[in-house]
Amino acid sequence: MRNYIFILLSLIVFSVSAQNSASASVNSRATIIDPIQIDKTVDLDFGNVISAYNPGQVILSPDGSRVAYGVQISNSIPGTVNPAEAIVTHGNNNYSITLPEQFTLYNQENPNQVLIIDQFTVQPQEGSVMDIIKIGGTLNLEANQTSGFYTNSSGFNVTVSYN
Amino acid sequence: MKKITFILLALISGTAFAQDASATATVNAEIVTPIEITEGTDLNFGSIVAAGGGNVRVNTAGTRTFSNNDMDVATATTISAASFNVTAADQYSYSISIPSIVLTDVAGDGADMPVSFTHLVNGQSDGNATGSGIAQELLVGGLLTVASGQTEGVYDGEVTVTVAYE
Repeated sequence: MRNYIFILLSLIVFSVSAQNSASASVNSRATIIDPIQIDKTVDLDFGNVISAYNPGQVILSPDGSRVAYGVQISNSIPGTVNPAEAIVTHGNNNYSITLPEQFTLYNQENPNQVLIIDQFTVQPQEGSVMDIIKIGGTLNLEANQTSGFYTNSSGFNVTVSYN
Repeated sequence: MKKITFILLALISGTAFAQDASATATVNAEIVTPIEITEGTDLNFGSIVAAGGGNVRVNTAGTRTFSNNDMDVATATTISAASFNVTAADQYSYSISIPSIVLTDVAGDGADMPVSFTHLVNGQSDGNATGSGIAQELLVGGLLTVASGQTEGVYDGEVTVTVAYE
């Protein structure tokens, strides 16, 4: 595990004598690291989902697979399905990822119709100085969810910070 | 004469708090309407003479033919293929399944008569079709097997047609 420790070592030696002689020596060492950085590369796409007469969920895993509960997904026309992807440049330091608890999508034709996404999940593909993180989530459909394209161009925030 | 040696050793170990970094990702989903089927007309084989038995077909166009012409007789009721309306999302393919059934004598005297079905929707008869976003007419014909000397009476049965997105 990488673990960054910021060390400042100061060794100060004073010699004081009654005479007018004095000496001091200082050794110090510091390591400076680059700030953590995150760049989104792919948006999160749940693809096409067939609504039902009952509520349901579609769980999109970080590996890009979908599982539907109570609703149906079409195998012949899956639509665009992608987990979100971002590159975290961390210089081999530990960091944490913060995701929102939930996020709302709006029907493009009828903004009164919404879809809630929650239970975001993350899977990092670890590298030495940068990781690719993939993010999935759960799409919640209401009974008889109105058909159409749902989006939210403001996007959800993914925040990374060093531990 | 005094000599003071003062040593300060400071060891500071800590974690660097660089600024957090954020990125935003857009999320998209396309919701498709459920497939829907509604019933139109019933399938009616009309009046048949049992004679030596054979098959009676009503095709999807509602035309009746016999494997044994001795069974043919002017019908008291209108011969028809069944019709349904299927509404599926545009460009989405769906399957159609219609299990074989038996017709039973309403009076309870005659033996059951098996029926198998054929269908036609949007020019397709192979059990698959593609939706258009508007209602498509699904026509269902049948093949009825009548036994030699089949007991006379009114026979009926009910079949459930299932359509499902592929």
